[in-house]
Amino acid sequence: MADAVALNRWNGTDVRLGAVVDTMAQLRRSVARTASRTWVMTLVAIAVSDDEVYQATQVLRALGAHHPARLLVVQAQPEGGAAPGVDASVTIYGTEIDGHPLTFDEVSLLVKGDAAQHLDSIIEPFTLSDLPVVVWYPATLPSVSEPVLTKASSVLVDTKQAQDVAGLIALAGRRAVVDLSWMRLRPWREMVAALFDPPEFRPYARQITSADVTGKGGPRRLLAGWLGSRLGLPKEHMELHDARHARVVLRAGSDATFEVAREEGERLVRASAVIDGSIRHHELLPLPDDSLVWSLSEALTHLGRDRVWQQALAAGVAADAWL
Amino acid sequence: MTSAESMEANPLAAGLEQGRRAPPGVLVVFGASGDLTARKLMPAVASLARRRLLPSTFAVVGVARSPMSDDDFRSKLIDAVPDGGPAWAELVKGFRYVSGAYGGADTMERLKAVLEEVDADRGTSGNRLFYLATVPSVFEPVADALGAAGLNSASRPDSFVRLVIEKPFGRDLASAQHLDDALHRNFDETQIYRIDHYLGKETVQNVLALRFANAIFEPIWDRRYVDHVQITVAEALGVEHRGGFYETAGALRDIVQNHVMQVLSLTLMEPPATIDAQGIRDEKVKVLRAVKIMSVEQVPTDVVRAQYEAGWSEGIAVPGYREEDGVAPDSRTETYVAMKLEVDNWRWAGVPIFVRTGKRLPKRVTEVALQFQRVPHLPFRAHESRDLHPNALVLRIQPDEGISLRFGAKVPGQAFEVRDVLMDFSYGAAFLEEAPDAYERLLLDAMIGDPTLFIRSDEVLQSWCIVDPILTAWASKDTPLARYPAGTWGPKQADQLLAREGRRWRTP
Ligand SMILES: NC(=O)c1ccc[n+]([C@@H]2O[C@H](COP(=O)([O-])OP(=O)(O)OC[C@H]3O[C@@H](n4cnc5c(N)ncnc54)[C@H](OP(=O)(O)O)[C@@H]3O)[C@@H](O)[C@H]2O)c1
Repeated sequence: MADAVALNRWNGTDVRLGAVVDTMAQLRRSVARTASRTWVMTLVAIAVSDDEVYQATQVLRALGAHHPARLLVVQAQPEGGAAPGVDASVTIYGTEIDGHPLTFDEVSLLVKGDAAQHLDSIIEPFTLSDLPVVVWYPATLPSVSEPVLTKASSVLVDTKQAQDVAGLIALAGRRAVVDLSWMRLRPWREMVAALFDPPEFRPYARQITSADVTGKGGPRRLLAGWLGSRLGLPKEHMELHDARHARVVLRAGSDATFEVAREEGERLVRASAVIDGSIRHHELLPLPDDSLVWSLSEALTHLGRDRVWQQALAAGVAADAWL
Repeated sequence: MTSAESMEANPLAAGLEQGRRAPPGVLVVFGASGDLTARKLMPAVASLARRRLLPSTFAVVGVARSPMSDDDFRSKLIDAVPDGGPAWAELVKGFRYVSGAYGGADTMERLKAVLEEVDADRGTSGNRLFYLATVPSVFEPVADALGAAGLNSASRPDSFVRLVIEKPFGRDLASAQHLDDALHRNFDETQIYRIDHYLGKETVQNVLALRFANAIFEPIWDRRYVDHVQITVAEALGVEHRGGFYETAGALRDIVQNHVMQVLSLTLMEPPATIDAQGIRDEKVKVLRAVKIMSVEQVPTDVVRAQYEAGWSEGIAVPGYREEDGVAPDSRTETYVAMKLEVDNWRWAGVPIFVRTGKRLPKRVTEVALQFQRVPHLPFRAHESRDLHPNALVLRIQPDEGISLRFGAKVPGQAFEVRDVLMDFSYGAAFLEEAPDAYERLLLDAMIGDPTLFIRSDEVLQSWCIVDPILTAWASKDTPLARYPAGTWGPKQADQLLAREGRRWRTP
């Protein structure tokens, strides 16, 4: 696949949204590329800082080349005393997949002053009719009453750095919320769960008495919340340690130890089961991808509600793990 | 019942969609020293492992005549998957190899002992998937020997034994029937998984999605709207180094009896009540039964067979079929077939189904095209609509999987000129998820025990019934054999097959 190149660009200050939409159609016509594009959704990133805008744009661009979403980056800037208004830029990108030329467009909006409180009215003109609208918060967590959420079929967040997730739990009770951090943990959950697939190990899954979870802040606590809620482990029986590399150790009394751990210095994960002192199972697996582009694309393919995640998050909070 | 079901659920598996994960088991590959194993099966196993769809309680046992130690076999497998990395090397450590004659009782005794060891070491639970990746002449002896050794049925109440069988499934109706009977001596139909790798292709399955997940296509999918159907399976390559094999097969056996009949049945079948093994396969076999069996006398009129001559293929001068290695200088094996089929049911009566397949055609493409009827009345002046053709819906199966619809649109300007435009949908550009390779999909299905994408006995036999009269007609020396230059779309006789009814082949 060829890298995406900007074919045409336009920007304007204090614009009317209708004019932006018309401009998009004109720009698209001017790049006489492909006749039609198969769309599947509108993806809206809601960013606060310039830094976030930059990062979201980079990721969406990488994704846009192979995911048929209309991409919208909205930067809300309620402070600064500016009069309500919108600055916009539109870029048409061209790339190629399997010899098919295709284009995708990217719209960036800077929403100033009080208009920032009404993002729902801002994104509506850009959403594709009849298709899901996915709203992504790259770095912050939305409050339950955020007006833009009324337009969202699904909300994407990342609890990697998040401190207070109580609001998120409330939000998840109302609409489909997908946590990118949870997506990155998915392969790890699969590897831990797989240890109990063999019939002879299965009974131990109900006999786990303690867990050690090692890793970085947010994901570590989410993983602990997951183990706690799935295995019914009280928090006193869980130990959390801060470390760069992830590791999960589950013990069933003193008889059995199950472990999934990143190999130091290698892009590999070791999964093992030791029962009555002897190694009964040992496996090396490739280290899962944890890039933002990957987790975002995972999230876009698992857009529904996830009760297991909700329970894990709640258990993480209950265990004070989030504080 | 599988062992997973009889056990308590894994509390950690909740929400992980592990239904598509393979249960514990051993994949036993007969012909493990061969091409298919190295080129398709092992890369598929490695990819399943990478996607974490294989349990840790999985192993491969290779069987073939070539003498090899376990370690020789393992290093061969490591070479077969160059991007496997340390994780593949680690997995392969648990794989075993048994060398011996395919139908030999002693081979089976040694295999049995190895399987018991693997069950003990790897926790594979007595589940076995026997995969016949070897020459067809040993299919029967292997199945018999498995039966004689008692390996054909489960050793534990909750385990499974399945047999995956590669093409070719027979070389005519009689031999297919014979092979089927032979397999059924030792295996139930529910244990037998006949592979046609076309069915593992995402786009072939997509024919079902397009037809049965959308309300707008099915109503026009019949004789009232469709003028005719064209199925094309074109290859740009010649017979390469497989001339010797091809001499015994030919395009009819190699492509039409299996792949074309599968694509045809999925395209033309009635909507199944359920998208499952029975629902789909019942409907497929029904439509195959509706395909009119030609009389031997009809064959010269409705079937064209041909061979390629020297020519230019993709800018390279290439030899004719008879000059290829392993091919007899007076060979009458067809490298091209075109035919007209009829389907005698309410939906398709009177709609001709044109099929063509060949080697050394201008490009590699597999597609199904529904050519719709002309509008009853064209309200434009002749010069305004001269560039307009009837609508066509094309399902592109490979390469560049997708769907395109040809329809008329007004050319911008003052005049009311209309012209064909193509609305094009490409799967590659529409979904982020990478489609698994066909073998990967099918291997996983066989391990899980989902036979939907495998060919049932009645389907395979009915497909042979359809091509059998053609084989009979061709067996006589005086049936014509047409020629076409390599790199062209086939002989002029194939064009005449359509032209006589006022139709023509599409250019894919
Ligand atoms: N290769 C493909 O891409 C492909 C595609 C679709 C279907 N298939 C089907 O898959 C099956 C295997 O194909 P393949 O290409 O892997 O075949 P292959 O490499 O020719 O044969 C597989 C193994 O069978 C054994 N063998 C070969 N000739 C034999 C003979 N005359 N008698 C007994 N054993 C013999 C050889 O092992 P030992 O000498 O060590 O016993 C060989 O390594 C065939 O049914 C083929 O039609 C293959």
